[in-house]
Amino acid sequence: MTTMHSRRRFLKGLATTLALPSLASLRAATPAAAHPLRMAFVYIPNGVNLGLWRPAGNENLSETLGPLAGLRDHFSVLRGLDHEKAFANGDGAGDHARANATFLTGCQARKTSGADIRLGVSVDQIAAQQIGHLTRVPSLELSTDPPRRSGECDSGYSCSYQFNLSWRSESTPAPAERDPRMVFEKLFGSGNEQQDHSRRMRQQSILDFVHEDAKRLNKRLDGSDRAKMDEYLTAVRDVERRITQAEKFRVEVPENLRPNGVPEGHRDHIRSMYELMALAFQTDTTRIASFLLSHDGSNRTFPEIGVNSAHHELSHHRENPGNLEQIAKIDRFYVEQFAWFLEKLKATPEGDGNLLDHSMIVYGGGIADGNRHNHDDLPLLLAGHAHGSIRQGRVITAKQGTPMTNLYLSMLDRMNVRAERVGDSNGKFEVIG
Amino acid sequence: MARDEDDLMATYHKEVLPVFENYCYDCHGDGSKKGEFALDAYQDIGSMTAHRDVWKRVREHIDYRLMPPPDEAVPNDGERKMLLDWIDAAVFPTDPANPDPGHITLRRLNRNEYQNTLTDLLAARVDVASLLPPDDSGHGFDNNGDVLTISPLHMERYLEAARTALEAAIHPGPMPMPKRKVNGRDLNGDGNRSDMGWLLFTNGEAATSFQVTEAGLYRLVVTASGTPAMRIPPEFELKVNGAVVAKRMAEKPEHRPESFAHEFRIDEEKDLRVAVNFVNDAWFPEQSDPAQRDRNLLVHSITLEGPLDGPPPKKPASHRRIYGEPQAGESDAAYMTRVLTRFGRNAFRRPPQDGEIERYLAFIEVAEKNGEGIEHAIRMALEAMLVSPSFLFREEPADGESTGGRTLITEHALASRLSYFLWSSMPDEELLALADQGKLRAQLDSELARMIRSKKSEAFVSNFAGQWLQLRDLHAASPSRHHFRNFDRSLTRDMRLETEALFRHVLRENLPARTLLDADFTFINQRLAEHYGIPGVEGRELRRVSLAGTSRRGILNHASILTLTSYPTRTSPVLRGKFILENILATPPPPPPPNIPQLEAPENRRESLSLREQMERHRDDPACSSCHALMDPIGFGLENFDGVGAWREQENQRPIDPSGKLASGESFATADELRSIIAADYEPQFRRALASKLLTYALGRGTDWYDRPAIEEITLKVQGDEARFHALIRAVVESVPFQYRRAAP
Repeated sequence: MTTMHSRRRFLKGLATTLALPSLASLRAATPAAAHPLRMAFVYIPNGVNLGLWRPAGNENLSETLGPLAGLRDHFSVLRGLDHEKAFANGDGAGDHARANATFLTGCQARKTSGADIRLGVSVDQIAAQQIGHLTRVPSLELSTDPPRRSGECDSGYSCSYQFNLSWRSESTPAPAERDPRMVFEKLFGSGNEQQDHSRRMRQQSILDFVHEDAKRLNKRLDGSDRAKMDEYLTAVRDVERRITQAEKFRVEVPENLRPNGVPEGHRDHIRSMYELMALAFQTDTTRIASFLLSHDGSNRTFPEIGVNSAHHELSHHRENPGNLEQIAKIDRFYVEQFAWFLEKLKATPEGDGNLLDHSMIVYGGGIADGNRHNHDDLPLLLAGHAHGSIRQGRVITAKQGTPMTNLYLSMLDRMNVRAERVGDSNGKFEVIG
Repeated sequence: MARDEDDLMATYHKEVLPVFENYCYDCHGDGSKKGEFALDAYQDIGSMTAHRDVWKRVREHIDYRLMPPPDEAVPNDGERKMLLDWIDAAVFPTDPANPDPGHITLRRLNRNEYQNTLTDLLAARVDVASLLPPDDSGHGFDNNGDVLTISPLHMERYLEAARTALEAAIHPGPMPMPKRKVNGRDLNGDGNRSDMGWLLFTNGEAATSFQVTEAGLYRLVVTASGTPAMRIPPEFELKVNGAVVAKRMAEKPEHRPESFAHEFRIDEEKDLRVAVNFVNDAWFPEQSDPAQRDRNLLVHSITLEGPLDGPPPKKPASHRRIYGEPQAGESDAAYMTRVLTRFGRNAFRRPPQDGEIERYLAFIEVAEKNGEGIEHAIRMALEAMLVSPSFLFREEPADGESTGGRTLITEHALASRLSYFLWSSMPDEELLALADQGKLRAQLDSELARMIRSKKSEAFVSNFAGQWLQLRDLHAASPSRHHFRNFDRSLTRDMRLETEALFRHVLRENLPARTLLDADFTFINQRLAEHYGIPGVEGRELRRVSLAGTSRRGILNHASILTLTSYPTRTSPVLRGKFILENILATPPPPPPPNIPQLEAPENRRESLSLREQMERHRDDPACSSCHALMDPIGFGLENFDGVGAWREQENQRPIDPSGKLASGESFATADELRSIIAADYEPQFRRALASKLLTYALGRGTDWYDRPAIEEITLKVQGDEARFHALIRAVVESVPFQYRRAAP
């Protein structure tokens, strides 16, 4: 039987792991030849207070980035990267939906409330499709968004664009998980390996069976319905693969860290997700993760830090100093949590270095200034050393008009993932090296 | 065809083309193709209808004034209307005599539907919704076939949900002995409750009681753990009705507790008091090893099993319903086929197809390999059925020949469309039986009445009204308690319940739809009554209350909608106006031009300008004024209701002025007058809005240009009946897109 721990206990667990970085018992599943490289993407919504976000000079610190001061040698501020495909380009309003949709795909979302959703495969999923088989779980998709809202989403865009960062194909998003307990189970199982094993075997024979079902049904369908059945078949095949991988890679379960549902406070929720991401990387259960802190356009309030107005409403600040101050508070709150995550990676030794040395993490959003809804010179950080292949501690400025996706291409390169391009990329962004 | 193609082309050359040439071709014609778009690539109706998605955007850009850009010469209103009329007639013609039912993309059950369907199918309480990822929505509803995608995560969770649900509903193999378990947390006595159970930190008892009604052999199982002191673990006595029956040591740590069993006989009906008595508490603060200082006992659970020598317990009712009993002389394969044929017809919502059930017999072999019998083989087959695409997706085959590009859907598909529309669940036995006999269409009226009467139509209230009016979002509304001192979280629940209650009342009592807009009664409890300033309502239960003597009428004055259309710290006339235009009047305002901040005034209220004055200042901007003239007056008419829907006469010590004039010319002085205008003068628009929302929800697809005749027909059909709700639902169900599917090409 699984043992559930209370939330308090879980968070206490977090504190312990932060203080005692060893956790040496959590060995990686497979002794990798060299330490594997990990890649993560963290999304912040609604743009930032640019005045306080951007460093004034060449140093990679600013008012908002203050919480990262102790980590200044381990990250850089990126300037001048654009998401051209998030602009209207003739499609009218809907900058929030587009910012969210374009962030990891670099593609222009086809404007539709429902039929014929079309975007592109996101950078994390391109990687997962090529190297996901090397770990127990191909990739992690996380979110701390509250449950979905109803009604129409942004200006004629289907809600799938606005609520999903990761896309498996041009029409199928990879939905993110918000319950830390379920994420933990996905990574490490129920804690009873024998029972998990027999369940997997059973699932395997059921999947074999429904695979055939779907093929039979497919014969009775036409057009767009066949596409749905393809989606189903792909999902079946993928789960079959995951079952094989779960059988192949065993990993010790950090039972003392098993969470117990969604924490109440936003900060605790974010930290438990970061914790799981770190744990997944540390145990080499996956090497790829995306994390949507909140969807773009989110109207979350932040009573924990005294911000009672809604984030999206505030982001239309119209240079009002009061609003800008509140936005900066939110920006800083998010940066604080990110710093907590980076500290955690840094405090986790691996080989001669630590987990942060063997990672690269993009942190930022698809809108620069919430008031202008612009998608150029986006607020972005790049953290981690990627085995020493990224020179950190700088402000890295791109040539004007450099697509954000060029950075992704350079990252995929480091992950040994072959891709001609990502969305609208037109080269690599090798200035990071 | 409404008009002859030659006529249309003549009009094109005479009227349309000159306007295009004048305003558009500079950038999109004569060799220039800004944004990769050349308007003159389409010179005849055939090429336009071949690229309807392009022309939808052309139409939208003209209609929403997105093009030409404001700094260029722009066509006047008459010219725009002429262009739109011509495009509608030529590119998007509809033929009422030969309607197009449209195409519904194969729909997967959404999370609610899946939960309800499993509950009905297994006739057992199963909670699986929380396992599934959230559904995205399209066109305002989360049952949109195009948007309901299926990812590997879904598949993993469907497997998990099927297993969990079956575990709750059926029990293959021999039944275990009856067992009653009391968790440590639920014990009482000395010590106290902890995360893991009941903690005894000084000598004393943790106890519980069982009522025993049958004589026989019983087994008591205590699960406990402990922390030692000076190498000695905690010791406890197991006491039954005061007598010590056993004495044990708890040596295992908290995360690996140990179970201790004691068997004994009970000869007569009696109450048992079972206690665990901790007897050797110790505390050595000076001990150097902290793990050997404090001796404590943690009781994780106490379980009573038995009678162990009685007959095995009966299987649960839900199990017996699915499995029945094998008949004498029946082979395993025949028995299994019989069970699965019945279950499959319910799970797939249609009769099984040739050979379909036989395939599942393969699980007999799988079970045998695991050393399991026929009941387990059936269980695996049931599990496979529950993740089969025939269960997860709603296949809607055509029935018979097609005429005019459309085909009736089968009666079974119709039964599913009806049940998922009104119940968000599978068809019940009566619907399936009627479909089996081919009599459902003939009895549509009585079936609809029955379905609306059924408790299951509660799902229609929460899922249709919950999304149409966005009531589902109330749980996430976060009004600032600093700004609205009379607000607290529990109020949002009451708000949602109030609007649902009025909607339910209008639905069940078959009242005219406009009752939603002007009901002079509502359903509130004490908390909401105080919020509204209505005296004499006591208690937590909602009840019908007259609104006479207040200025509150209908859902637009419900705290729910007024809160949903406000920001956390203040009202938003724009959001309120937009909500009513979109959801009540079926005239959604065009989205704001890109890259222009929304016209909102989150400015410091200490400034002496009222919100209205600030907003009017912004209305001077011509880029914004045309749309805001539609939205803002409606919103300002509701300014007497604050950001959480309480009535107010003043804001910032200044009296509120709700008066205004709608873009269409009607003036009003008060919220009352505004509501009368909407409920009376705009009743046809409201009817159309409702028709279109109902159709979108019923079909699980966005409505498109070819649905105009269907929406028009529903709107007109129910007019004589004051758009009473049953008539509305019947008209939707009788409409072409609901009854037919597009014929295969």
